Amino acid sequence: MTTQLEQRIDPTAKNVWRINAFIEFFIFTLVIIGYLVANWLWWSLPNWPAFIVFGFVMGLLIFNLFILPTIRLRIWSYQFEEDAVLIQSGLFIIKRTRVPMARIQHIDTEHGPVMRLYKLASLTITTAGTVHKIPALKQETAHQLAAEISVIAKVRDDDV
Amino acid sequence: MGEGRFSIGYLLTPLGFAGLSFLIGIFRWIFYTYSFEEDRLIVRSGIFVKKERVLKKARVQSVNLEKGILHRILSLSSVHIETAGSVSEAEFSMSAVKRDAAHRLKQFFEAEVSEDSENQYDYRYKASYNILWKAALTSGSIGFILSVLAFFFSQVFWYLPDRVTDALYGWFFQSGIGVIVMLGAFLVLIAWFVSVIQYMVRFGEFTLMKRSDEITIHRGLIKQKALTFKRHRVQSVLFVEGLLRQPFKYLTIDVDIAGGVNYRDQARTSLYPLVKSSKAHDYVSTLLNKTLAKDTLEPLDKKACRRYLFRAAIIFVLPIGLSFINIIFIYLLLFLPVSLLLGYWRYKDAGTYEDSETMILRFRWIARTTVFVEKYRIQSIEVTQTPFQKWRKFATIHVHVLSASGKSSYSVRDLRLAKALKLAAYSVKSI
Repeated sequence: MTTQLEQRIDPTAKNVWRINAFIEFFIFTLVIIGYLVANWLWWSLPNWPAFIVFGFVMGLLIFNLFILPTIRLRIWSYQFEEDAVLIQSGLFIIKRTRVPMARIQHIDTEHGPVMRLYKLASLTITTAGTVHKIPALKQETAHQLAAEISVIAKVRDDDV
Repeated sequence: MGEGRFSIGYLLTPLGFAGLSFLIGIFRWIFYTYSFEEDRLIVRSGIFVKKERVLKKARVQSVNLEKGILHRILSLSSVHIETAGSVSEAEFSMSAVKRDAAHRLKQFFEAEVSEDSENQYDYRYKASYNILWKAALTSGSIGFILSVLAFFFSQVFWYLPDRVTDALYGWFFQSGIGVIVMLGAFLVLIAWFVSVIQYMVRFGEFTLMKRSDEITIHRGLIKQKALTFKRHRVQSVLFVEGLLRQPFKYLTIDVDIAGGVNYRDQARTSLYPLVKSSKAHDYVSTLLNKTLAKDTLEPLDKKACRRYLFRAAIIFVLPIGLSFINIIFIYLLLFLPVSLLLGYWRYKDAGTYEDSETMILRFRWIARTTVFVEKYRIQSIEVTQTPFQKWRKFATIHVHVLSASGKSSYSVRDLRLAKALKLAAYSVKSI
């Protein structure tokens, strides 16, 4: 399955992930600074663990800024067909999922403040037994799909 | 209360709690009432916080009665009422109801049932004890029980004093191979015996009944279970041919039933504990009014055989490594031929089939399992590829269907990628 599906994750999602990475970095840094300050004021523990942790946090930031977004963008793809949604993901173990439209019970779109900035949303498709996620796509597309699927009503009377 | 002396207060506290919970129990019982109203069941409960729950008849999927030992002594029954979409727990449970009241409840929800319902069933199957004994003797759970035994002994071993373990070791290594084999055989015999008892307790008195589109299963020697479900809730049919059953041409017919929690001890529900393989299709078509495709399955590509054998062999890398520490581990290699044989069978038995309406998957872990799924029942379908499979253009297909525990997944390994994608791209018939 070297071939990808038609649609890719929206490239602006990279920025969302990067901003999130920064926020995460900021919070970690605050905690570390908090530790150092408390140490200076009240405790007298060694300072070096804080610097080691900070080194890790820096490394994580670099990874989250420059490497992870590109990988995530490359490994996700999806495709809406007339009767099914296809989602492909995975770096080493590649997984292609096919969810028949008629089986979909509901669709959740979700966007945090950062995602809203870029007019993106994540999409979660739920069937009676399974859950599938597309991490980032245009809000328009997401809402459109959600509307489309509600049109395809349950088709058989013996459905569960 | 004097110091150091036994004080009655120590006894009073737990007694007080017991009394209090007893009182609360009584009050909860007093305030728990239910009533019927046209097409609804209304349950009121709560001492301070009053709760009222209305259950519409039409929403009810099934009503199950369960009798534990205590229930049977007091001639009571617990009632579980399930509605569509209640996957995690029964929507509605009453822990103890008088038996005739329980049956009234059941009848209220299961329309048009007269008093002597026994004769009303249009199909009835009772597993004979002849069949049940055969099933018990060949049930695969012996492996499970052996592993439990092994775990138990290994734990006990740790707590024995060194003197005893040393003596045991000495005895073990000095005694001839004959004694060890005998000991092993004895353990297997015990495990087998336990598995037979366990099976009979669970499946004794197995009876299956059908009325129009409702199927009821009764089973259990000590704890009697009754499960009722509508025919259309069956999501997939499985033919399971255990290692000990296949040579005698017997199999078990299991089904996945959507949304139901009353068979928690089983992910799947057994429709028939044991039937002749040649008659399996007939049983299913009588009971479920549908004919399963009988066509031969498409086997795997010959090149997949190597991957199956490789996987069967690779688990023995560990014992070979360990044998550098203690040579005794090398004996594990005696199991290599067995594993390879099983690996070959897994390859040989794996296969798929599809027509416009159904998909059949066959695979073996220990037991050979054939799964029949109507395509529109498939919740989602996945094709996965590991780096090794990618190299050889193989892939694994996973089919997810709804079941009592949420979902059941069935996989066939090492199909050709093109084949797997074609299976996954089935078109759901636009209806």
